[in-house]
Amino acid sequence: MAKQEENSSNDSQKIQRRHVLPGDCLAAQEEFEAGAGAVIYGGNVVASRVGEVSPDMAARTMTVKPSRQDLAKLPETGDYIVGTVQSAASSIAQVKIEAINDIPSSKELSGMLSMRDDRRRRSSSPIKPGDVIRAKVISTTNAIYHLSLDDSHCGVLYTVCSFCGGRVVALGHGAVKCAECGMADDRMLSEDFIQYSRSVR
Amino acid sequence: MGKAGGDSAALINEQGLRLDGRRIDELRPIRIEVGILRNADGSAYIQFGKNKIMAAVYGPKEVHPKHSALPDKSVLRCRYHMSPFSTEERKNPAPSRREIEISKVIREALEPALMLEDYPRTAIDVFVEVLQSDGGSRCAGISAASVALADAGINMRDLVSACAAGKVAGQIVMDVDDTEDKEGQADLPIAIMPMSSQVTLLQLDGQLNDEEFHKAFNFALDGCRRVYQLQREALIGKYFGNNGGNSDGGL
Repeated sequence: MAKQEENSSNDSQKIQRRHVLPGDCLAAQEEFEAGAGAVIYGGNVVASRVGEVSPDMAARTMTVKPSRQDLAKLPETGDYIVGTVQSAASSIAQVKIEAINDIPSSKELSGMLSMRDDRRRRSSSPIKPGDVIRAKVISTTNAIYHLSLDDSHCGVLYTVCSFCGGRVVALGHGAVKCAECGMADDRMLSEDFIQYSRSVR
Repeated sequence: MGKAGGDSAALINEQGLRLDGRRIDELRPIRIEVGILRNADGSAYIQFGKNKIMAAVYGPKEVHPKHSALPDKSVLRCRYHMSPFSTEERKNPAPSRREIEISKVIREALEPALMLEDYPRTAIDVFVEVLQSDGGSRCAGISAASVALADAGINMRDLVSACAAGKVAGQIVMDVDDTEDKEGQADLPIAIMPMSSQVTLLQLDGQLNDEEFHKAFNFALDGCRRVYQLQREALIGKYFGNNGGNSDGGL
């Protein structure tokens, strides 16, 4: 029995060190399940990307850690994105995603920001086209990225006066005032709005 | 356009060597480099004899126009293009009928290997740019594009390797070059997913009988497997260093 365990441990170490390419067989389908970076194909668990095999012997799952972390990553539920508002109505906005979990993304994906859960009554949209916002991905149903601002990290990171384009200052969490023309406007600001606005200036 | 099949006796000499000195079962020298374009998500360069081909992959990314997006998988778009300076006579840079057809067959050769369902409502663009051509550029392009897709981190069931065989001076030969392609009697390019032994492309230009077809197919298959080893070496060299990978993809 001890020898069997030793062999199992050796096998595990041997698998752990393996670098694999797409199509490389990792295990039989009966022995392991396919985790991230692996797929069941032809009765086997095979690698689906270039990387390093990382087997979970307890969960009997094979995963492949990608060699390049920054590529082919699409937003998933729970991710935070940073993007620019393309268009905004009172309860819905379209956002061009420019970073996923603070990693820049050039995929030009767009998400749909819903503000229906915002129970504070507003006369206008709390975000405006051109604002840079941080939002949370709450769903990827039908491969549409549903975004929400209902998180303390989320909200507007950078904005300008919607009347004159001038620099604005925060008036609490929900409003800004233009430093040049004095116009006040609704904005759902992020908790680090001031920090981001300063870094842009 | 069918094969001319004219006076081709001189294409193979008495010692059984071809015009460029190769035996009938010999590939041209092949060199593959990975990740050489900074602005592409994935890229590869292949020298397949005198062919010099660059492959670049962009994506997965937003689809434009948006109505062409698919709700359940990514749209794979391929463009095979020969540069004006890639041929002996200047080639018109506008896409020709042949280039449009090869773009289609490259897409169809790569599609079975890609897990497009992992990237719904997106597009993956593959550009195959022929800088210098010498026959067999579609096979070299497929092999380079497959490596570029792996370099881009696109989920794949397998790599795709391609090679051609043909009939020249009455003999079945591996990996036909431009002269053999034009003067020979048949050309059989194939692409395979080597680890799962599946054929993703099979074309035949010319005429072969049953026996010749089987021999040519096996020659092309053997060529694909040799190309696959070079694809592996190129990817392992890029990502893990020359000693970093334990290449166990033997076939």
